[in-house]
Amino acid sequence: MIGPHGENLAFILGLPRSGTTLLSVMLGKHHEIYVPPEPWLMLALESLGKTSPRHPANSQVIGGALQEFLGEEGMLNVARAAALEAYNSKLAQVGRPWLADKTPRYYLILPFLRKMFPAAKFIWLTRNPAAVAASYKTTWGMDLPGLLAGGGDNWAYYDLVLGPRRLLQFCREMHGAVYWIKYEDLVQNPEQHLRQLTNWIGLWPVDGLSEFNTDGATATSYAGDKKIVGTQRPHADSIDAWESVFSNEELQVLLDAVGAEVFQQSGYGKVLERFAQRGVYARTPEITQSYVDRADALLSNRWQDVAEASTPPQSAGEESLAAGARPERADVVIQHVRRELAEKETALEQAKSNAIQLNGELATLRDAYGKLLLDRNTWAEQAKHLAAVVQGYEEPTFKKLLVRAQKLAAVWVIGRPGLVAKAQRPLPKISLVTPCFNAAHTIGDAIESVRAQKYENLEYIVVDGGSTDGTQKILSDYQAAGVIAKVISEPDNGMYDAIRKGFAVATGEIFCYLNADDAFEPGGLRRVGEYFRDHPRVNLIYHEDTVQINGWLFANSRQVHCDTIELMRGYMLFQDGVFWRRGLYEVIGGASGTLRFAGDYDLWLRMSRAAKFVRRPAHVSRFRIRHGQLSSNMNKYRAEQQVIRRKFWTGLPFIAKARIRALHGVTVVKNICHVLRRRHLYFAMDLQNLPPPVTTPPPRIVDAPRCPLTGAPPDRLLFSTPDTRYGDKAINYVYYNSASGVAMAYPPRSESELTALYAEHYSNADARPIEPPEGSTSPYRKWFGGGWMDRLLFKRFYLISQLRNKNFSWNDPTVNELLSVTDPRFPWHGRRLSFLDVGCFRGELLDKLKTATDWDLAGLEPNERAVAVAREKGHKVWPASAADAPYVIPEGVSFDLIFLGQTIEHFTDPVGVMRRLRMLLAPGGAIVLSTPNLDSRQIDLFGPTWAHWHIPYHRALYSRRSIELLASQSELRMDKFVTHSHPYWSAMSLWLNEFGLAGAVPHGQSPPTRHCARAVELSQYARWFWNWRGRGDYLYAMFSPRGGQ
Amino acid sequence: MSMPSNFPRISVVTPCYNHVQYIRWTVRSVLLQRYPNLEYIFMDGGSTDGTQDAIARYRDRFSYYVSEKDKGQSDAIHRGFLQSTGEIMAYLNSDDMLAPGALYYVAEFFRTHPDVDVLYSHRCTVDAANKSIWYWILPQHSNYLMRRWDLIPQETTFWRRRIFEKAGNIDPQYRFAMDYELFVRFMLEGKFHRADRFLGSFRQHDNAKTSQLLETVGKDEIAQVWQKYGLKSSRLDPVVSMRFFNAAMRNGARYAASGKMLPGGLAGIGWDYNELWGGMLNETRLPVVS
Repeated sequence: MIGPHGENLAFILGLPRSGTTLLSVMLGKHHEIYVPPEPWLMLALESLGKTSPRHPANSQVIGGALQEFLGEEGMLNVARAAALEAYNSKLAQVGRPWLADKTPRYYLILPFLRKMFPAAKFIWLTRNPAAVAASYKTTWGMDLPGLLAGGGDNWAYYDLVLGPRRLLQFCREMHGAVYWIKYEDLVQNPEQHLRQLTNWIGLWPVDGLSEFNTDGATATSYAGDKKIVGTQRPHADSIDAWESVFSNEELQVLLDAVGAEVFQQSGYGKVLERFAQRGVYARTPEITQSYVDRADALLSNRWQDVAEASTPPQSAGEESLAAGARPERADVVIQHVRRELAEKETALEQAKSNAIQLNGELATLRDAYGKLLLDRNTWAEQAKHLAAVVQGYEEPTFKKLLVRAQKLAAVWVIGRPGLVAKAQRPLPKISLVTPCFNAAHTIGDAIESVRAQKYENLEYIVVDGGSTDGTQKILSDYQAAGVIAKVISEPDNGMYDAIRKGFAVATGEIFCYLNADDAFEPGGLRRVGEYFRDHPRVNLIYHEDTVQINGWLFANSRQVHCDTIELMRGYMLFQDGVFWRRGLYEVIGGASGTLRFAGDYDLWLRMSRAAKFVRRPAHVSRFRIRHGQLSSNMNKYRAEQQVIRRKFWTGLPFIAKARIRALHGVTVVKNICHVLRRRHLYFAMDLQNLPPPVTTPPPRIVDAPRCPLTGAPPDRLLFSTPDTRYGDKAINYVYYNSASGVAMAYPPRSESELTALYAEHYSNADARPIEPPEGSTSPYRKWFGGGWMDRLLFKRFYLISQLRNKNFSWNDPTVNELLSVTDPRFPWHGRRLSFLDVGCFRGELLDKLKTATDWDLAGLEPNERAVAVAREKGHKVWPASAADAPYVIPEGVSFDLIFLGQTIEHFTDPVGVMRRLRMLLAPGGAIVLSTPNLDSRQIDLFGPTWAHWHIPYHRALYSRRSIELLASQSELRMDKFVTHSHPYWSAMSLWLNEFGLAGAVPHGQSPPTRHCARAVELSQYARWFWNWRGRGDYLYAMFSPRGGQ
Repeated sequence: MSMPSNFPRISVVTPCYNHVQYIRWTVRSVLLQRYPNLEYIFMDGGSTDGTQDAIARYRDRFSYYVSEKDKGQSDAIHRGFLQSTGEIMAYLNSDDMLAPGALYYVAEFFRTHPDVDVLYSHRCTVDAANKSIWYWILPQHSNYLMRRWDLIPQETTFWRRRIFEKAGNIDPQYRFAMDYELFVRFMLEGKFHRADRFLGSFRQHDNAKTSQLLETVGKDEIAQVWQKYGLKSSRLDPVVSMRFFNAAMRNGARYAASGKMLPGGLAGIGWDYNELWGGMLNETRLPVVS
């Protein structure tokens, strides 16, 4: 509790804005002392009885009466009692023994304080006056130097001019009984200074006073520094802030007003140095003194008014006078105020109306602005549109039209959009797996055949079971060449394990596997890819394959329609021609890795339950048979097949079993019919007459043979054959393109090669028929492809024997046939036609025509010797091939009739040749050609031993369909088409049929009489049944230019 | 063998200036016609790009050859026609080509149709690489349409000398529409016929005069022709001509799509014109002269 002399009481002195709030807050954290925020109590008590002159109770009376009532000492006692009561009641509330009263402007009443509480502690917090002035300016926005210079009556003026001086004076009078602490020191080292301070006051030393929070009374107090709110600890940031606040002139005023001696005495000599550095120097003390004097004067003036008001009047009359005058003055004031109020109100009214008007204008402007914005957007759109239009018009209209027409044409040309889309769709990715183990001899051929496919979306995976014979070297070579995508090389549990591993890493859409022994036929994969692309709902397709034995190649037997029933009956699909989708493979759970021999059978069986199998009539793959290969594993295969079948059967549901049982018989009958059905251009493999090994290596698949008319690869193999005319042993394959109806020989022979062969053999009159050696096998020997009707006819049906040898000539029928073809159009006995025989050889035909007609004859023959012979006979012959005809035949020479007798089948580019020959036609002219007829009925009978095959000299053989195609491609129109047969060729076919393909029959020889008799018979049949149906042995076609000439 | 004298003489004028890429094809397409009574007049405007080297080997096949600076294409054609003597006349620009057998066809046609003065056909267009790109399939000849638009494919047009003498030579003033101006004069004097086939091919390439000039001087000149001969009187004329032009294009597209072939062309688009010639355009030999 505070004692009557001020024990337990401390006063914190200082100027406003000098950090007293900070000190009080920190000090207030001590648990023994209570520091209320600025009570201002002592100032109020000091002015006890001094009231405003405007006090309604008459301030003079109050002051005088109080003075009279209490007296000087009494006043002091009353004030002390009041202060003690106030302080102690507060302390009782907070429960602390000490109280520190911090009120900055106590400097005005320092003697009063000392008189009131002589035992109280005085703490003076000093601060650099310049910093205080700066704080006034920054915190309260006061222009302190301006106020000082103006010398106005203002508390800030007193604060700065009088405050430091009075406090200094007080310190001197107290002889050091004032605890003097510098703000700058406090904020830089608060803990230490607070400890010293508390120690000086006599409080218990406590740590952590500098950590304060200001959310208490200080924040809500009327007075005090609010800047402190929100800070947690003292900081030294504001010490030197004053330097940037004031200009030099302001600093000079400040220095003058405060006084240099005050700076020095209050410990801020260094600040004066800073002043000097900025060119601000202390002036004479008189100037400072003038400020102090003025402040003193002003302060006393202030108190003068109050003192006068508080001083009792000398007389009652004066008092009444004064009292009477006041209302009069008030009236004036009221009137004045009222007038002012009226003026203000009118001004307000005006301002209001102004505001309303302005608001209206603002709204209008806003509307206009919005409208402009909208307009701007519209115009921007317009500008964009116009720019586009301008850009569009930059391109010439004509060109645009052309471009449009081109696009239209492009859409139309390729015709139907569906077809376009089909052709443009990408081919599906095929994943091909080849399992191999020690297959160094065969794997090369297999990989080469895959490479020759040139299928762009192929993933070739080879799974090697750890070969030791150099297979791996071959594989790595091909992998480096980019043919094989992946090679898996590790020991495996048999072939089907390898396949399973291969498919496990495959990424393609279509799956198939190719054994290392087998190979693909040219263009096979493309056909498969296109089929799957065009038939998205087909999951599995299977093909027939070709069989390669000793270098010969045969078409394998026809496949039946395959399904679960057929498989259960033990039917074996040709594995190398089966292709299926990844989805199907995944549905059935993949190949079984445990089977050794019949893994494929297991696969088909399970797949047949999940998908429908589709048979494709094309050759895609080639199966190679080696001696011993077939029989050795077959028994094991069958045994394993039995196991698989039994297991599969037990797993079938009842319904499926019942269905299979029921349909079994139907399937058998159906398949017998299928096998018995005859087909054109299918020559079944002659297993009884397997061929001898060929001495020359079989042709390797380099590139697909191409149809000479359309450039498409063939889709079927017909047969393979050596040269059966002069006995050359090299094997040729004969392929067939079913789209264009052309059979073609493979490999293609170069022009020079064939010319050399011709030169060697054609004029060789000593060529003898070559019979196959006794006891050896000869493929297709006595092969007969006819049906039961043909067989009957061939058994010399009695009727026929009556009719033979009638009206048949063994002579060369060419002239008659040619004239019969051309007769209706060219009355040959009426007009002198110009005639060109392309490939006239020695001019045999020209000889005959010379006698038969009066035509203007000419010939074309590349064989120099033949040309010489023909010229000797007096014919006009140009030594050139058909392709060179437009060059070697002089300009202006044109022909009414151009004849290609059995030559078109020798050309590599028949279309180009026809186009060139067409240029030689005179207006109204025609081209006639003759060539073997691929539709011939005798092909069905004799098969590969048909005499007209004549491979490899015939590069291609044409049917009626392909001849029509040739005509349309050469800008010609087919006017006439007839077929003929001649017993000579039938005899040749019979003769070769007797030998088989291992023999040879040269042309120009007289066939044995036994063949002649039957040949005449055949020709009779041909005349009756075949020729008029377009199935004679060779065909004649007449073309004329389309649209005339 | 037919006698050369049976065939009327055909004069073909080729004006040429710097078309070395195409001139060989143009010249060969004329000389490979094997037409026995051909008069080929080659008017070179002093080419500087090797054109003369390219045709050096064919120089002796030209009935008349000149290489000197001229006053433009129409001037060259004008002077070329002055040199010509043929009964049938035509000119072939140095980037266009004739179809195989075209001259025989023309000769035969004029022999069998003595009333026709001018013969033209559909237009087949090839690009710089000789690949066909689009067609005009034209209707039967109609003077009504011809008065309204420049629709005659010039590279397929052949005419008799008698109409030429009546109507006069080509006007060298024109740079673009000289053919149209000439054909309008022919139209006023004689009878036209459109053959249902192709007689030649028109080349569309980046430097082609047609595509360059049509927008600039072409339309002006066509308008001049209309004005000069008092054509195009109706306000509907532009509509008619545009509809006709579109129809020709559309028919061309339909024709290309149909997969059919007219004589003098192959089916569809994208085929090589050289293929139509059996590969002979790219070779160097020429038929021997009898």
